[in-house]
Amino acid sequence: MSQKQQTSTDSIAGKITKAVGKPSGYLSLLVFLVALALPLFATNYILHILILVFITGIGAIAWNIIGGYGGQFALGNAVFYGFGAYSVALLVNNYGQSFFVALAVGIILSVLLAVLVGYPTFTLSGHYFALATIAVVEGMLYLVLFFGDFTGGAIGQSVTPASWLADLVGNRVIAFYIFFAIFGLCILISTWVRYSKLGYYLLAIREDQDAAAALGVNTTRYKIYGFALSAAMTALAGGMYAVYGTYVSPSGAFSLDLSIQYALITLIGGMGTIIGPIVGTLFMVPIQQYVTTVLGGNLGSLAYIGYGVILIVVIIYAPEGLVTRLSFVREWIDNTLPEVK
Amino acid sequence: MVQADILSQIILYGVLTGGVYALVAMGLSLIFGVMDVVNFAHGAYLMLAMYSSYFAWQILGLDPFLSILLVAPAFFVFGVISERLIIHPIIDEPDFAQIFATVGLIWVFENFAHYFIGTDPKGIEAGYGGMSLLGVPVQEVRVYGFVIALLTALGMYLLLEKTKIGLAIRATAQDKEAAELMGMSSEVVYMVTFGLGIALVGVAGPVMASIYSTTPTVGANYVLIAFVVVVLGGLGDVFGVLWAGMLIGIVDAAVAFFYEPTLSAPVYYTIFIAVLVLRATGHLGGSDEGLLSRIANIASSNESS
Repeated sequence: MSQKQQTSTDSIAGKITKAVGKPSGYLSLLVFLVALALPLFATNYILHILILVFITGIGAIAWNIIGGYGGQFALGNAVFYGFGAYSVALLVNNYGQSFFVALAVGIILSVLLAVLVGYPTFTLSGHYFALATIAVVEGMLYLVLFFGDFTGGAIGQSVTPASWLADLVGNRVIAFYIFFAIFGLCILISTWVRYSKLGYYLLAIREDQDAAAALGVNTTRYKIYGFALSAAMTALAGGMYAVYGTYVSPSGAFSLDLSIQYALITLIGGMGTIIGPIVGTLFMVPIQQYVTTVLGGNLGSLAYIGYGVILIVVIIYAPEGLVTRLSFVREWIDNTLPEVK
Repeated sequence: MVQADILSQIILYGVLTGGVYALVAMGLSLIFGVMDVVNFAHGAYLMLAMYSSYFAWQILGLDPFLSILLVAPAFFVFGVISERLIIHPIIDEPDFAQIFATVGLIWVFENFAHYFIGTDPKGIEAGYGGMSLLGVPVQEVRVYGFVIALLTALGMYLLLEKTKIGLAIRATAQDKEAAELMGMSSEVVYMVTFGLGIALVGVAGPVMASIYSTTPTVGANYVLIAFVVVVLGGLGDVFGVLWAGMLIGIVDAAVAFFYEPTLSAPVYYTIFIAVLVLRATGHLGGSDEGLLSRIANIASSNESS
């Protein structure tokens, strides 16, 4: 985390030492180090769950940029995930391209689609924007099914990456570090965006679009920038999942449920905060995995009833998310633990 | 002329199916138009209504069309209770709260059905057969479903235009504060509106169950079509919804016939987004008016000028 920034000026290095000296700073560092050491004692199954946490987390972080910072309630982000996943699957399998070329194509296509969809639909407000993005992901799902000869249709297709890559992601420990690194990179990007011009403009648009426009912010343009970045990161998650899961299917990739999940995770964690989607993913993905794979079947559906009830109760009584709800923990830590200088 | 035969068949089939789509969309349109609430759980309510009709047939031996008399009032009460418990607390919250609360409802309803009923498709066999309409062979249930859709639209129109509660609903939809100042309680109006919207689902459910078989996730297939129909037809515009439903039904049937059924969804989603965007950019007027009434307006303004 810090190597990257030490190459820049001394004042930044000074800021970092100061930030690390604070309890929240060195505790984060501790969590980071524990996470790095996890493969030493965690089982393969736990590593697998954590890799899923990272993949879903990237999507949630990406959603938070447009949905949380920008306040644009996109419910079609899975379409970018699908573009990433299918680009990798099709280009690697059918056209013999290397993984990186395929991934790059997926990301570029997603950015193009984000601009293409965003340009007209960002004139819509509230409900209508959400509905239009749903129509995009659902329409794309049917297109994938329609062009079944090319895409593999409803069954989907398996992905056979080059043997070196298959070996890398086949080893759970190495895969863990790869996905952890990408996850960390996405957190850095999200943090950078939050404190960049783009981030401040997005926040301004979320708070009051008309006021932002009156102050000279080109609102449509910055929303499209945010959406394109969000799309690129989600496509990255999709492409990475394609090689890790070695299988893509239309119902898994172009799924409204996944789109909703990104938004939901961010909501549970705390919308518009940097750490919200991270906390949300760490909380939600393991629970979902437990409910669907361990409980499964009928017990799983019973658990989902409870899940739905909890969601409704959370919306009614605690819509600000876990991070804000649990801010007293942070205050307590800041107040009780000593500052290191 | 074989071509004309096929064309009339497609149009007839599309109109019949579209009428049923409109029936599904009416409740959504009412709730969206009056309360500005996007009820994502609309399809899940529909699924429960379909099961209710199925069990009325299986246990009580009730004809699906007769079971409307039972299911619709029950769903009115169900809707009122839902409104009090879930919609009322978040009516003034941002859009995302309504979206997620209703998504939560979907999970509860779908998994309730999954747990207690199971995933086997349930179909009603009430002994309806085929018939010939204008020389085209069609299923009887589709014709009756269409007739019920027309009657329901007429009933809704009369309720909204000719009764006191209808007046209160329209007034609240237009201007909530002003309506409250005139002594109409928006709380009561919202309760009744949501109840009516769900009661309309209670009408649509038995009709759908007589045509299609029911599974826990059946609602998801129709809720998005319903949204398309609502946006095309106009919020709270009963006959607009009816026209839009038929339009989508014809598009559906035509695309399914000339290309493939899977392509009809992308086609009407494209229409959907195009209409939304054209409206937002002011090319089709800025209000929540339906597409057809707007085209009629444009046409009449051209005539007069």
